[in-house]
Amino acid sequence: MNIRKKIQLVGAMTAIAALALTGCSAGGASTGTSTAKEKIFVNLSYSGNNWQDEGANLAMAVAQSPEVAAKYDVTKIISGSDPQKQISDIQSMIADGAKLIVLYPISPTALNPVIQQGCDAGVTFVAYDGTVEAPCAWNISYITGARTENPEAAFFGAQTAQALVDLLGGEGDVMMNRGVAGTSTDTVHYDTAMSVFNQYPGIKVVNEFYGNWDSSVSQQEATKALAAHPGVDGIWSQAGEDGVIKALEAAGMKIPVTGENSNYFRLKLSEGWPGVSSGSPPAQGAVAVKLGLKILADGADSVPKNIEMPLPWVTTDTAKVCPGTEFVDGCNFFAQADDSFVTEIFEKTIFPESSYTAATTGAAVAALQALPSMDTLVQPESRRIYTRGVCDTGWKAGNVDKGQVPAGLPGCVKN
Amino acid sequence: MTKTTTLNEIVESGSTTHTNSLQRFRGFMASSGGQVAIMWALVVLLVPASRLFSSNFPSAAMVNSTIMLGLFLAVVAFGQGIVILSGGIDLSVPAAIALSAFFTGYLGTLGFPTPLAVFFGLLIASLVGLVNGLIVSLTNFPPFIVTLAVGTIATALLLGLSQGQPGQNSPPELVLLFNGDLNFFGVAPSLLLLVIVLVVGYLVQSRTTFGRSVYGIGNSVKAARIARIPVRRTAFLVYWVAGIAYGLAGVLLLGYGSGSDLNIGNSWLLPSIAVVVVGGSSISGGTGNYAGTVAAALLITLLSIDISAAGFPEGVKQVLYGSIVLLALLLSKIGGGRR
Repeated sequence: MNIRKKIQLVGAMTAIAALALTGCSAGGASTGTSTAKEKIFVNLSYSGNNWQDEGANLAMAVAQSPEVAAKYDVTKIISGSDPQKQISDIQSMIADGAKLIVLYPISPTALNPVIQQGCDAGVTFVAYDGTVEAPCAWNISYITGARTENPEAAFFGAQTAQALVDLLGGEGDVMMNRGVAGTSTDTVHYDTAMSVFNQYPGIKVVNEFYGNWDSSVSQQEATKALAAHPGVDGIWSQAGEDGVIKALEAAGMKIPVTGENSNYFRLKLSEGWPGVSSGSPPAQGAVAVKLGLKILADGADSVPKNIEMPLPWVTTDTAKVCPGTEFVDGCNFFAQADDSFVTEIFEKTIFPESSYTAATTGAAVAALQALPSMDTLVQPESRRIYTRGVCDTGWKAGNVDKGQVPAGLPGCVKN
Repeated sequence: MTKTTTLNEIVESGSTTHTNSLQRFRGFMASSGGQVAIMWALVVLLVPASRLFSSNFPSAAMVNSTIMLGLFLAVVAFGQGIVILSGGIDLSVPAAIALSAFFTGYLGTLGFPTPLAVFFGLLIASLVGLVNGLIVSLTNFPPFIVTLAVGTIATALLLGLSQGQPGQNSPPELVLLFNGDLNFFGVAPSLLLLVIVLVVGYLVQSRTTFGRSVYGIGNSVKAARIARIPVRRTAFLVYWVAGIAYGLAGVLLLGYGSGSDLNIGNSWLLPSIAVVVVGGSSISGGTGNYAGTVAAALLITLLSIDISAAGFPEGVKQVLYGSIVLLALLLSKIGGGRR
């Protein structure tokens, strides 16, 4: 055991040394003494649903824009849904001389060794939507994100739960459509939502089911649950809420629903359905590439390590159809998109150059906009434990009572 | 043919020698008809027994949901059932469902009339079965591997063809089938469809030359050859017909969800196998009855609704679901008098 520990220690020290070395050399490399273009990889998880495809298309739309394509070779790799496959794919990318890997991580922990190995070899990693705990990687995620108009209102799960409670006047039976059982994302959403529901004695969770973030499965599961609870007053949903709405329509029920960003849900909201649309924006894929490019160009210190994607927030009052394929005049969904199209392909400050075409085809964006300062989007240290697994130095695990609503959620507090 | 006839004669003469009623009852129970009757009896019993899971049960909503979700399972299980009957197994189910849902939606959006879009959707989905059938019938490769490979290739091709737009909207006529707006003299379209599927499926499997040939090759390829059953042609047709059945399920699911993505078929593969076996078919082929399969589809669907209603944690739900499938299997095997 002692020997093993020593080996680990030596390994870690070499890693740190290597990191320091590559950190120094990174600036020099980008001035371009070599003739071959540097390599960028966009590494995705499974595909076949709109969310993943849009995230990938938008990432590629940025990565293939003329100014980036002139400087870098960009390759897209799909790793399925198995962490082992993603690990071996990342190993190949490192061996292939990757400079930047933008990835949708299948697991927050399983990739740590391979990411560390890549960092040691001088690769920059930017994870989007899901997060990775490996400290050398950048994370950009909505998971702990807050609403733009109120930076204290954090967590998708908690904010939508609060919205549902408010829509129900603090009283009623609710059902919960969860994501994929056992994933860290589902757990964060669920736990933060429950912490809100538990504050209201009048709110009773009568049923939970797993819709697997899939519209069809959500619809089937909601149909089953609605048969058992025809008197339910509201539904809190993760992705797949368009299926929940369809199950409700088939049952002839129009009750408040909070969910994510499907086109059909927004359409129903715009027609007066009570509810709130929030959750994971596919635009994260593109923002992650932009961040990665900035790190390559301006160095590691130019971008903070932990970035929160602002939480989208569209209500019955604000849902508005777009006249064409661009976001104009505060519109937030598309007439021509299919029902499970995820509308959040755009972010007004960090990804304004997005378009419906880019999201559906991956066509390169014509003019890449420079990123503004990321300082306002830095994740507060108090929420670090959700994405890195540990609190920063000088912080310890504890309940966060100040600067965040709802108060009292587990997080990090100052020592 | 002479051989099988002789065999039947022997069996029949054997059973007629036992004239007392107990023996006759046992004979009925051991027949596939008896087993089917038991499965349907379980379905009927479970409707009032659902009360144990939720105080809101039994209800019209419960029965409606069972019929609707059971319909999809019954259609998928027809395809899987006929493949299993022939002695094979089909893992290309999700691919074929996704293909037909995607292309029916895609062509509908392009402006094809709905019947034409559905026709082409089914045709394209049936290609999966066609390729499965060709390979299985012309080689001796195990169907397990062949259908896995063909399904994987088809899924990958679709992923490439869809070019980053996996989502499709459904033609409005298909949506009407399931959204509660349409009924025929008070009968929901899903119930009507279920009855049609049951009758057509039963007739194809048990009353056509093709269906009888499938039983034949499932029992013994050698015997089937001696009986001059066209073994290769039958094996080929089995997978093709199965592909069409999955395609039909894809079309129905497209309408039910008024849209689809490429993952729409993923949740139907394992239940389709479970339902066929619970319904009284042998996993090694040669025996089975589609009426039993439909009963099992309704039974499993109703049970999953009950389990969902009871509000157990997900882990408990899955354990319960697995246990009940095993229990149903046990009941059906005891009921059927099989080992």
